[in-house]
Amino acid sequence: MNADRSALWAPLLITAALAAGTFWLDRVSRLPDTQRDASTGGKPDVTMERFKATQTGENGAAQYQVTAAKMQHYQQGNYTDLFTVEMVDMTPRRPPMRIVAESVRLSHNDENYYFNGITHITREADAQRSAMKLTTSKLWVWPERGVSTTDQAVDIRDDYMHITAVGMDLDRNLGTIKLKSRVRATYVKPPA
Amino acid sequence: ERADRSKPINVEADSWFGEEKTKVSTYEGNVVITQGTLLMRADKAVIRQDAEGNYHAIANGRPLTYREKRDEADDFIEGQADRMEYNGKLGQLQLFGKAKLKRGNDEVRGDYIFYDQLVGTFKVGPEAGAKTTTPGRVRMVLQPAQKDSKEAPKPADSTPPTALKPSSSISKPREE
Repeated sequence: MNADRSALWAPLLITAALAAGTFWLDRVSRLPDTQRDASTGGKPDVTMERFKATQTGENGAAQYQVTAAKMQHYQQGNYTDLFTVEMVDMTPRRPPMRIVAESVRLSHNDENYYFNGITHITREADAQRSAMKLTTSKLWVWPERGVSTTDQAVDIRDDYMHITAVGMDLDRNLGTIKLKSRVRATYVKPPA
Repeated sequence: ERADRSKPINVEADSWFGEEKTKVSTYEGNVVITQGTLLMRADKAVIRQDAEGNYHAIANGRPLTYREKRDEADDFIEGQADRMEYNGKLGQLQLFGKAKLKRGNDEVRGDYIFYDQLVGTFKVGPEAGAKTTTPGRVRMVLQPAQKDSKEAPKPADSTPPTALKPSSSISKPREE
């Protein structure tokens, strides 16, 4: 009789032990909210929809403007996440340059914008140059210093040439672009 | 070939540096430039574009090599030198330093070679205005034009030699 009863209880005990173990594993692997929030800046302390901000220089002239569908600021991590973002560089005497991306993280420590995901840069034409389009998948931008960099593939086009490469440093102030590896360029006759 | 001038220019390199104001592009490392049948390999190339959209290039190599098909012949013109300057508007190529240009079987060497692609002529000698204490030697090998073997000259007397046959009418010689 006892043998019957233990044969009945054994599977139940094993199942109970497995369930307890799974529950324990789940608890251990899940970081406590505070720890995860600390590494990602905690909960946003400010959230805005249809956000627009303009940075002006010392002389009060607009330097660049950022618009976003949504903005979330994180006090602890000292950064701001922006979604569906457009940044326009409005430095005087230069054709405007526009950067568009799906998500951007603005780190306030060094005023760096990290465009994460497919990022498009367009610069309008001016008297000397045709319009330019640049596409990459990640871009770090320091608007105050006028420099941008990426270690990803880039694709650059204007009316005269099409160039692809991997890795880029762009200096808006000097008007220079350095492409770091695997450069392929095609020069075409400009449209008549 | 003249048709090359209208073709796109393709450039491959390890790195590139572009200046927007001057529209000058500097390519460095394993530079390969192609345009139609033109093929050039160099260590570094600086490509500039003028107001009318023509491209001009200066390239350096150890040595740089250049190759392009000729219009009027089914062969290539090949060149090499330490430095090359190319004027895309005039279709003129200047080779500087241990310059060599080979066209078919003809070959010229010198410190400086000027090649006009549109006209198909070249000049060899010291660089214009170069202050060379010892003028570089110029060496030119021009192969005589080969006549086609099909048209080999015929012998003076062109009538075929007559074949000797035994005669039926002449009697046997008399024994003396």
